[in-house]
Amino acid sequence: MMRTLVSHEQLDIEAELAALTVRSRGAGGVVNFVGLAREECGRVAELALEYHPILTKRSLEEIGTDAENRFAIDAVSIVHRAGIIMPGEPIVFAGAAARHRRDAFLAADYIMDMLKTKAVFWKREHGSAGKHWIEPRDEDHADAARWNKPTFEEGAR
Amino acid sequence: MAQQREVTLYGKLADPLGAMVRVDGGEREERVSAIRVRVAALEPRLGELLCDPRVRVCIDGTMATDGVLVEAGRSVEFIPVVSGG
Repeated sequence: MMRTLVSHEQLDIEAELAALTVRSRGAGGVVNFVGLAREECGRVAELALEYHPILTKRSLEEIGTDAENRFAIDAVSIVHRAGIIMPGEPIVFAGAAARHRRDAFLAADYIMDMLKTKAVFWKREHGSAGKHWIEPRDEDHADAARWNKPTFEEGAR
Repeated sequence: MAQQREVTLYGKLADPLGAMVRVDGGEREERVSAIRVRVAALEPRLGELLCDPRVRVCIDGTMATDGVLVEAGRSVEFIPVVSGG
């Protein structure tokens, strides 16, 4: 079971976690990650997130589906903010429920790595240095690429 | 009769002229590549940004290459590199 949402409203993290837990009947655990807009030592006054009316939701669904196909998870939730976000506000909720904890941890980790490079958003920081667009960092691409490598178990076969 | 084509620009592509521009040639079928040239000619900075080979084109929610023919009157969208979530 998958939930994806692009929201202009502040994320209600407790409600999202509760809803994911309800949808996870039979699972042995729920793992969730909450990303926050960074203040960067006062350098960032606000973050503007633009999105595409079709491609953005589709990108979240594709990432969720990939996670479902890759790990033994029972439910997944990807809820992302759009619009103007103030430092400290939640920007993303990514959660996965699974019968066994390892799959839930891996799925949440995988979802975040994919979101950082593939989710269709355009971010612009507004702050003391003016406005500038953000692109994924080399570290973000490296994090995403590590899922293409065989795992220790797969490599040993 | 001459008709303009609506073009939507996302992310930094919208900085020079805003998120919506119109170009000539909308009364007839044209290739994506021709529309890209028309949009690039609107403003020098926008022209530079559209030279980035990573800028993609989307038509009705489907990604299109430069060789695709776009129907008369149909709008197109230019999609720059995404920031990720």
